[in-house]
Amino acid sequence: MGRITQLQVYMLFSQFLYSTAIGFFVSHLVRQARFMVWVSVLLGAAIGLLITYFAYRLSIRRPDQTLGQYGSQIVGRWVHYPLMAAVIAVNLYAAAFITRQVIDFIVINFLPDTPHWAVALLFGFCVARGVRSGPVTVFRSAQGLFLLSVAATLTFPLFISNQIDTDMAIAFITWFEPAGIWNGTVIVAAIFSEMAFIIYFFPYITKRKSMMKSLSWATVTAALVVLMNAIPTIMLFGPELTANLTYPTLEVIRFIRAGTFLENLDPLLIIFWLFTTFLKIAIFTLTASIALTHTMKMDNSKSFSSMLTAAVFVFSIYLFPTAAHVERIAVESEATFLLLPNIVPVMYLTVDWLRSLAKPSAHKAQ
Amino acid sequence: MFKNRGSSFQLGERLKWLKNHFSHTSDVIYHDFVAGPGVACALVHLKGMVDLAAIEQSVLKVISSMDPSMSQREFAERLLDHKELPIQQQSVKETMEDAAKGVLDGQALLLIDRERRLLALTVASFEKRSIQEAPNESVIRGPREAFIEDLDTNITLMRRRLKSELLKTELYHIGERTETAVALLYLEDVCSPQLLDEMKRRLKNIDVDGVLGSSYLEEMIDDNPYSPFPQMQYTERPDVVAASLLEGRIAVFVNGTPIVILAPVTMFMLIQSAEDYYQRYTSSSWLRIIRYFFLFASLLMPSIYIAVTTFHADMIPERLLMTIAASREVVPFPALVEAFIMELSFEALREATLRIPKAIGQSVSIIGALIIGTAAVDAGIVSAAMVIIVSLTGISSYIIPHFDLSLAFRLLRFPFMILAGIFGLFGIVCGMILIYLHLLELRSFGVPYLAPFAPVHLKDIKDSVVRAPWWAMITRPSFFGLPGRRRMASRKWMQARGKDGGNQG
Repeated sequence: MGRITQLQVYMLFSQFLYSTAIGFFVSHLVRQARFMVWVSVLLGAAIGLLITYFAYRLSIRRPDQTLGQYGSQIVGRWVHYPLMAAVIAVNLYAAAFITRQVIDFIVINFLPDTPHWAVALLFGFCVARGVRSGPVTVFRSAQGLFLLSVAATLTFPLFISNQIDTDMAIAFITWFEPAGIWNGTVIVAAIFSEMAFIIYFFPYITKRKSMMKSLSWATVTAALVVLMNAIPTIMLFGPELTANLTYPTLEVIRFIRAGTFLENLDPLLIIFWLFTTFLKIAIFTLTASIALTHTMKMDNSKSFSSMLTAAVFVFSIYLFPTAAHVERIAVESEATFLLLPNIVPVMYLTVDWLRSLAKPSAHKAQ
Repeated sequence: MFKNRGSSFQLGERLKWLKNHFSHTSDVIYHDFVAGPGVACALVHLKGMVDLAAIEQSVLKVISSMDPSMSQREFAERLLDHKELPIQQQSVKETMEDAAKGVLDGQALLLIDRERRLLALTVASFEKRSIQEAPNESVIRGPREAFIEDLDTNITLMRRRLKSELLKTELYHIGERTETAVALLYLEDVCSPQLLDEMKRRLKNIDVDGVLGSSYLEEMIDDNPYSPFPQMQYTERPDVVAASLLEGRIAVFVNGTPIVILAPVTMFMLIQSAEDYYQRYTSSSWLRIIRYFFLFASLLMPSIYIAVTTFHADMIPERLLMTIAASREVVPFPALVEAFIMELSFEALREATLRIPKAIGQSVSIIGALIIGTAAVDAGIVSAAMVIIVSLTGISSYIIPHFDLSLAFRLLRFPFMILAGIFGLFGIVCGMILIYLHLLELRSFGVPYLAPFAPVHLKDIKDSVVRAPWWAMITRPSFFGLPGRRRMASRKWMQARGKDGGNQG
């Protein structure tokens, strides 16, 4: 079954992690951690990787199955089914929320006269196509644009290097606010722990023993990209303005003047960035689809893919009435609901470990 | 089916059966004569398909000079068993149905009275085109030869290039009525057995009344028949086929067409030209990059123009924006409609140029492109900027070496224009995501269409967007799943010089 390579795992999760982080989270992160954003990113990435490690430990116990298939053997059906239902619901909600953020971004900045539903319909069709083609195609798709995508996100900030306020640099060491750092760390940990989704894709992956190596490199790459965007943004606008901008990365790009050839480069941003958000939404929906399929003891995740993608896009329009509503959720509760499904494998691992301690021979036989 | 009355195998009876079998077929010649020991014989063949001089010299003269004192049995044995006729290719047919097929295939059939067996003589001779320069894949430094319509000549062209006993040719006859000869060529030690089995399986399952060109087979055996993208490569150049066979691919030759199809293929192979391998790698790499740039231009240039002028005017520098706005001021249509009018006109002009007689083709091109184009701009129907964009797009599409791929991009340009007209750059990006997903799923005989980039085969990237020097391409492409991939030992003389201790000159 394993057809997803470790290189694909690395490339997908790198883009998956930094897509929304640089698109929508920079202002929230800076609002919390201010100049100590780099500490939050490093700590959050480490915690995210640790949570992922627990998911990995659980996965290698039954490498040919997903959590939806074996979860009931660990915690029993009465706990497993509600937990899986919660995971599926949260994933769909998270996918719908990110979709709405993307749609708002597109409509506000580039298509002010276009109705939300029309933008959602087109983007939804892309996501539906991706989800329907399955995990192997989605992971493989991450390869084609990886270098261009990383290069673009790393080089855009370099164009504003002559406009940044270097006097601010000292504050990255002297500023210290533990509460803010911790809040920022939670946000980053919520995003980076999404790598725990590997628990739903494990049977599709080859050379699983190198999995943590791939995921560690993905964490390093994504953290580097986030820092390469967040630090120049702070040094350009200062922490106060950055925290109050809706799309700080976009504003940075608007500062770039590529000679007299192109007046404004920000529409070009969407070319690479939109693809990474496509990957993110597709993985969330695919995770929900695989979890649902396997929990219901079915084999083919295609059965639910179109239905669930349609649900994501309908939710994205109707669950969030206004952009202000979306902003409030992003500030107050997004980190929590993103963290929830990532913690679930930790709980299963703990129970599985306790059970194996209690019945060592039974576990060995299994 | 022929039914022999008694066991006499009378010549007259069998000729009657043949005449009935070939009823209303005026080009079948029946020549009956008496030879040797007074035995009635007949020669049956198609007019214009056999070499009459060879029949005269090697059949009729030889038979009539045979000893009249021998018995009829001995006469038949000498012809059928000892093969005394001085013709290299001759076979004995056991049934009339087989013999009739041979006649249609260009063989001359010798019938001997009261002899069950028939002698089929291959003395085929028909007019065929001589080997000429490749008209559609011309090169500056490489060989000029191109395939012709005759299968045997084409296989000979391959044998002259690959002098190896491991070059295998397997013959099939496909088409219930055309019985078209189809040959599979591959190098036994390089070609993957799974690939070969898959190709044979697909060919054997073709059930069609006629095959008149290799494209008939291509559509029958490709992986995704609904995709606009070609999943097999075609070429008219023997050197391209030889290079492909050396990489472990399979060539399908079809009698009656000068176009050979190659499988498997990736999209990057379709953007390579034969010339790339005959020029220095630096020039080839540069040309390939240019080709990729214009590949995207041919697909996206009109849609980017529509998107930028309609939705993202802030991207354009002020002075350029003023120029474009001034040229569009008098145009009564939105950019999308304007682009559609121009693109459709260009497509019509291109199609007309192909169809009209060559003598007036150039005049029509001039009238179409220059006079109508200039008049349309002067009349304010389209803007000068749009004419430039459409012309550049048209030229870009000709840069793609594989015509079928160029057609696919031409076709996809229109949905992209609609997406750009409605959603701007966002629409173009969504369109690109959809095509990208489609290409990711697309396979050519199991080989991913976007290899070596998705999935990544790092070692194979050296011959994709750029071309590494020949001495660096030590291994064959890995995505055909071959066990022994090494094809050269780099620059041995350099290593030898290093061991000898420096410059020998």
